[in-house]
Amino acid sequence: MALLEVNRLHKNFGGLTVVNELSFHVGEGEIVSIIGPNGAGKTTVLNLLSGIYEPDGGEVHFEGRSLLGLSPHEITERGIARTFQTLRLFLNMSVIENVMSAAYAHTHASVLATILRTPSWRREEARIRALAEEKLAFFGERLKGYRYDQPAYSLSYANRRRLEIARAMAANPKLLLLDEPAAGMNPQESREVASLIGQLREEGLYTILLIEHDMGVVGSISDRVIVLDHGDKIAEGSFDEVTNDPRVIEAYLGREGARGRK
Amino acid sequence: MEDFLLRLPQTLINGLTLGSVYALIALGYSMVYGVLKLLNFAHGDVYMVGAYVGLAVMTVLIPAAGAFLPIPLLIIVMLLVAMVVTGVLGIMIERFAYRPLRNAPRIAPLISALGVSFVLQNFIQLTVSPRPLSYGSGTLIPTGSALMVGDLRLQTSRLLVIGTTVLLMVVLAYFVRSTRLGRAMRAVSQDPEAAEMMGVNVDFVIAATFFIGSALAGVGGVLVGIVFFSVRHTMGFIAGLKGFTASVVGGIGSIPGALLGGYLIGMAEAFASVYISVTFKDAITFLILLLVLLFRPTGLLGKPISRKV
Amino acid sequence: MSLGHERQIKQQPVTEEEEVRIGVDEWVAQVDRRRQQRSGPWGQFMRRWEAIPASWRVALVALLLLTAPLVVQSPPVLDALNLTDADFIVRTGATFLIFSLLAVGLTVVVGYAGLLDLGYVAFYGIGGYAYAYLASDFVATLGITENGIHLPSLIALPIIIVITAFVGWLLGFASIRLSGDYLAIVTLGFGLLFVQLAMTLTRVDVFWLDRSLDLTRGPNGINRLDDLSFFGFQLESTLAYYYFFLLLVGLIVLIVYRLNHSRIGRAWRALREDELATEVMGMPVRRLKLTAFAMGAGIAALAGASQAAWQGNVVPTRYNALALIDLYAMIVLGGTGSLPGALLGAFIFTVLPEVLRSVQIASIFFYGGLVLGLLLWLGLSRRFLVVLGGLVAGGLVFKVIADVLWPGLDAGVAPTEGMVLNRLVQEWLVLPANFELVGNIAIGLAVLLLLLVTVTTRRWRWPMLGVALYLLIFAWETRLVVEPAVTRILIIGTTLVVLMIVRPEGLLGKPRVTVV
Repeated sequence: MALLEVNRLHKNFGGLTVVNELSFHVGEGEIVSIIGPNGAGKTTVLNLLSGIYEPDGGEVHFEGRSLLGLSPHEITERGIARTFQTLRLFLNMSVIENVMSAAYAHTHASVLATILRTPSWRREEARIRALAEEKLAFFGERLKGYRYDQPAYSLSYANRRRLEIARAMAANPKLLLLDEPAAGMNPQESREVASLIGQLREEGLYTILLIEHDMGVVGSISDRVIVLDHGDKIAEGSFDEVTNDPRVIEAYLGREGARGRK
Repeated sequence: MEDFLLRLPQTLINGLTLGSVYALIALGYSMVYGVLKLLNFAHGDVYMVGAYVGLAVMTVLIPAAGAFLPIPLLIIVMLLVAMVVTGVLGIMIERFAYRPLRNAPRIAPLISALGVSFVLQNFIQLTVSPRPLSYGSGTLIPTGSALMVGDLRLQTSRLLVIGTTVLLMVVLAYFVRSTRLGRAMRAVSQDPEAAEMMGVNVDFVIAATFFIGSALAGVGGVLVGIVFFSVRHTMGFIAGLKGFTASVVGGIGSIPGALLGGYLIGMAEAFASVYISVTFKDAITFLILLLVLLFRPTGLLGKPISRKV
Repeated sequence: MSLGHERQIKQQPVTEEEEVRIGVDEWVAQVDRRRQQRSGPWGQFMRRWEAIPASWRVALVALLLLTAPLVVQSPPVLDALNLTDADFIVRTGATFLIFSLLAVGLTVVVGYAGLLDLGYVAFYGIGGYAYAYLASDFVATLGITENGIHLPSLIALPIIIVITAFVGWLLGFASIRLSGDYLAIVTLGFGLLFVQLAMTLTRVDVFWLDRSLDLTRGPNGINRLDDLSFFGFQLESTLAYYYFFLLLVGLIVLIVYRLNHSRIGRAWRALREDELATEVMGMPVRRLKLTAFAMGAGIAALAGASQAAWQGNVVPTRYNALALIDLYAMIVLGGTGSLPGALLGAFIFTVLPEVLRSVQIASIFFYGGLVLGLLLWLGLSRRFLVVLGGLVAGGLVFKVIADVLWPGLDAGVAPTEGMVLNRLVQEWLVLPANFELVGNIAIGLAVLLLLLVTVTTRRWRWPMLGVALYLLIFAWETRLVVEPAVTRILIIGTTLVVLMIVRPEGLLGKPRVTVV
């Protein structure tokens, strides 16, 4: 059985259908990309999966259990964490605290234990710190050492994207949802992101569902690609399959453009 | 029941009078919130200054020119002078206490506003008087002067308040809807940065908003002086709160909302003091506020907040 | 902390190649620049102060607060201050500690969780009134008990804290859907409603009695509350209360500090930064908000009950919007979200008004502030000396001219005795007979000119500044010194505005970035 099963997911915004009867699945250990032109409903799918929006119809099952009606933090507890296309870091908190904060879902220290600083609290706090350092170590030297205590706002754009991924990892998810991890990066950095995502699967053992515009990134790492256009799934398959699908070409280039290409 | 009916017309008039004043104050809160997303807590004190300016004009003009200056003209002069003075005061407050803080954390202008409020109140207390002063009953409008409609007595002073307010509202509605500056104001309240890029002089629009909002509060101050006589340097605090409540109940940022809220609060207060108890009138105002916000978090005519992801 | 960073940065030489690979973090450069910007006397002082290890700093402050009453009460200090007893000073100290408690509680709600709770003083009031119910004869008048309720403090205080925390939780629960300004408005309404009810619940009809009940005694409040007592030891003197409050402050600061540096504190601060991201990253936003509300309410209740016991009474006006404004001014002045800032803010706001009561000290503040302000603005430059010298000389010249051309003008008698400085200045000023009226006008003119000076860049701003300062000094000597009660609020109000413009993050706060 697949890790994530989405069945006839549906979402309207005031009469406008944004996601239309969408069905797909993501298997354990897979890297699946969702692509599509702007306004195709990609980010809406992610928002539906992470519980920010309520779907108007359809079902979402994660590890065989339904996610419908759960609040976002409960979904994260179940094992789905995400990043944001627009970057939503806790800008005035330090780099390490950004990552440590996401460990909330799987830690348990009570208010009383915190006030008394009991041994179990100390152990847990040390564990959180170690976890955060481990996740940040994924990015080599960039987010290490003196960077730990710097405020997140002092990071460069690319480093902020990395920090968001590290923060999502600290929630100990099985499934990572990445919303355009290479947006705003230069070609060199994009290639790095691609190899990083591969590394996340190999070393971090995460299953990954990502939205991406950079076809270089999508092509180099995806096991499967799902193409959305105006909320409809118009193609699914390997990168080569979908990029040669006439409907996909039409969606991206328009009818005229597609004809010209032929 | 008979008692209820007997007191109904007078209560209605009282409610409309109070409501007019609250609406005038609420408009300033609402307009400023509309363009700056700022709660201008010094606004109540601008209203207080308006009341004092009206009084000053009166005390100067009556001995100097009272003999040949008809009362209606005198009132108009008082209103105009108060509007100009409070309007300029509003511009100054914006220029010196808020503009430097436009990019500061949200709470900074709030504290700055409190500082301005302290300064205005104590400045008046120091330079004018710590005791309440009076416009004098019957100085402007003879005591008991009223318009009789059938059995109904409509006091002239209250009609003046309601009439002036309605007139100003009509002018304001025309202004916001149909003039260049009004359009610019609406543009700035939608998105200041985009408006700036489209060639709107945002600083000027904000200054104009403060001028208009403060001038309306100044009118409110003078009218209160004419109807209720007594003015005091602390009067801005509770009136400001009421006006603020009114703008929130109606939906802060919305001009019709400020009107609706003002009259609603005014009516509620008038009815509460007649039919329930004078002591509970303020409590009832805030109860209305709590109830409205719990069921319509953005006020009666406010637009729901859209959440961007 | 900051020194450590700089050292580490230097230890890692960045090769050109590596620099390209990492990407030039222009933000890092900006942060470093900002760190170095903390110059001026305050920045200098803060850098020295922060060089002391944190535990030493805490110990130093604690020691200072512990010994302060003893030092103040020693005869030589009393003589020097020209006081017969130090009770007044200890009382101010106790007030400072109560406001510290309140400011620390507010720091949790506003500073950490970012919830703009303007109903906070209501919890302070609920704590006070709850104590009045649980530890005085008052309940007897309600016909429920014979002699009222007199719970021992060790039982009463926890009950009050729990009840008020629950009320805080309820208010949070009711307003959980509101965010930002709307939350502020609803909570403000709640706070005002509380004061209104305390004022007006004097004739409440109940079905089991044929008379109406006075639940709050209206504006007069409830008197004759029990003193706090623990294990048979009753707190009676102000000094005993001072030390008890100090203990409470220490305890609460420790608790809040520990919570802040833990999972829940991180979640609170995340909440202040970005509510949606907090929820999506697995933190239960609702529960976190409610915990913060309840926590703040509990601390406020503790302060309210202790304060009521110390004063022996509760009055509704103590919990009105002015108290709220004071509290917010405190935490913002100190730096929102900073515990030492909350304490510093409370200190400044409770001690400064008391200090400014005296004409002498207020004058020192005024003239000191004037010179210091000029110095900070212009630096120790020639311009500073020219402005200052020009002011003194210009004043003298004006006096001579006035005496020659219009002999009747300078006919006023000195309005205050004051100290030597005041008398000197009054000799230097041209004092007309009706100096009160002229003083009133001078205040307005001085403010106008000063504001103009700050916005214009023309050459004539310097002479204008001189005139403004002359008018200001005139207003000070003729009007402001005479009305200290008004003056100190004017000073505080002006300070708030100026501080927000110069340092919106407060004295001890860190500059915050909202959108980049």
